[in-house]
Amino acid sequence: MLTANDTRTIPAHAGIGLRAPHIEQVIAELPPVEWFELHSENFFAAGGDALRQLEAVRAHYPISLHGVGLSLGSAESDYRKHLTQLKTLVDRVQPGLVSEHLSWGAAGSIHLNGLLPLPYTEEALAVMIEHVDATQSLLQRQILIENASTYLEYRHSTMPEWEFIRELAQRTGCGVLLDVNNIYVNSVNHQFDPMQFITAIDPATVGEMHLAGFTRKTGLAAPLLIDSHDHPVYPEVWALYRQTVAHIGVKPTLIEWDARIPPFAVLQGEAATAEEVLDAQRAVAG
Amino acid sequence: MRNAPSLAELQRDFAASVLHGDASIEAAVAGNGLAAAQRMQIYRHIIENTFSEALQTSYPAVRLLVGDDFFDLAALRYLRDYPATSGNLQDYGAHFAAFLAAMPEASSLAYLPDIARLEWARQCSLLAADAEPLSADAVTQRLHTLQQSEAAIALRLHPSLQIIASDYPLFDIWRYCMEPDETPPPALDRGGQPLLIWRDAAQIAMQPVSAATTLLLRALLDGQSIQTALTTAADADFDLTELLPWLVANRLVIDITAHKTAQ
Repeated sequence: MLTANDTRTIPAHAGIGLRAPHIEQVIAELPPVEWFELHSENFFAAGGDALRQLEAVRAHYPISLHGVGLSLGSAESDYRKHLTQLKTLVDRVQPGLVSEHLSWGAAGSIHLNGLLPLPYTEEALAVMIEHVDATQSLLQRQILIENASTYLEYRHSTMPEWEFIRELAQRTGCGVLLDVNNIYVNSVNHQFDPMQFITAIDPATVGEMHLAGFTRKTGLAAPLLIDSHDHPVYPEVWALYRQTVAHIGVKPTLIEWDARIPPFAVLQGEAATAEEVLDAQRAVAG
Repeated sequence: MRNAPSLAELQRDFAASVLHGDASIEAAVAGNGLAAAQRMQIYRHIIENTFSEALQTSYPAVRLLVGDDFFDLAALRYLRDYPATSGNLQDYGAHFAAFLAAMPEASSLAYLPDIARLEWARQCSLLAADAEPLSADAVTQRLHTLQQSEAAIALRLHPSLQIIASDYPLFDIWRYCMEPDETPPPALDRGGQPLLIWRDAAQIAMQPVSAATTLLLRALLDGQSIQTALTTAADADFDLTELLPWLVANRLVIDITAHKTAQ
């Protein structure tokens, strides 16, 4: 059994989101990858082979657990059972990082299992703060909160997304998981300058970055990108990532690919590109 | 325009829009070049796909039996009738058998709900707790000791073990769906085929057994002693001396102790 001392820190290098089609290959071949991130809920089981696989990966690599179902932004949802399952998993594998989303997924007892958009209001901020505090308190560690891709804005929002997430980090001590693809997607969907988002974030609060591919919807009256995680990272997003790293600094960066998953070597190629950006920044920063 | 909704109202309206097409949320959504309903349709589509894919993963044989179009229709109706109650997608689909049993368009496939029960049992087995099985030697030793003391004997089975009873040859139907090249078409009139389902390392194993065996195992899972369970399962040709070594060989026996009478 692992002890707390076995926690392996996530290095400030490029890692890969590890999904079911590649897990056995990784365990068998132990490819040179700096770290892996896995979806927490896929390992919410009392036992079985998925947990064995997770522990086999954990024996050789630093791992980060990324949740998609805690629904921290729900006003009326009992997330304690989910949180208890997360705690069991975190205690079991002692990940280097634990992250969740700035979103909601449940209305009362009905779960929509999506990363759904919040209104950026004081009321929603208070709900997120309460739930992030409770999560960090139960897990007895800092968590990172990721900015999500959104396809609509609410009329009654009173602050921009970047102010909301900055306030959340300041008032809970949580870290920010800056998803550069999601910032790009939202900047197109909601027509803002993505650097306005990035420069509003305190670099010291950023614990990790994400990169992924989107899908462009055509034939609509307004531009719309969907955060589909089924493409290589787009050139526009690589460009924004370079600007982000120049501003925020060298941070652990993850390649995510969740649908139409390509051979593992393709993911390694994407990670190598991210690593070049980090290397270049290291050279500049001396 | 009405006042801004509270967060709780907004989230209830959002769910009502996704599940039932309710338009209440649209007043709160900024169109920004699209209709508010179009923006909600994007979320409805993403959410429906997420849940349909989860059902496809858990119910591959049902899908093969009914075809993709019918399955997609059933998945959409199931989402409205039984929306998810957990943020963990692996929990979604527990009521699919009951839903299919009540779906008029599925009534011509009488065995379909039972195939769904089989597939959900496989899912439950996959996620069940681990347990270390007893070796054959340990079983022999413990039985010897307990029989000398004439104690009632409790036998604990692996947590992944599931028992499915049906009036249809479920095992034959399931295999014909999943391995059509290696399996003859099932004889639907051959009668029921009780099944054991359990996890064997990374695989889910299935074994057709006699009805008497399922009665005995159910009694054991309910906490009865072996002696009482044998009475429950009374069957002229039932032979524990065959079943027990089979259970042990398949790593399904995790403990044998003196039976503690329920309070």
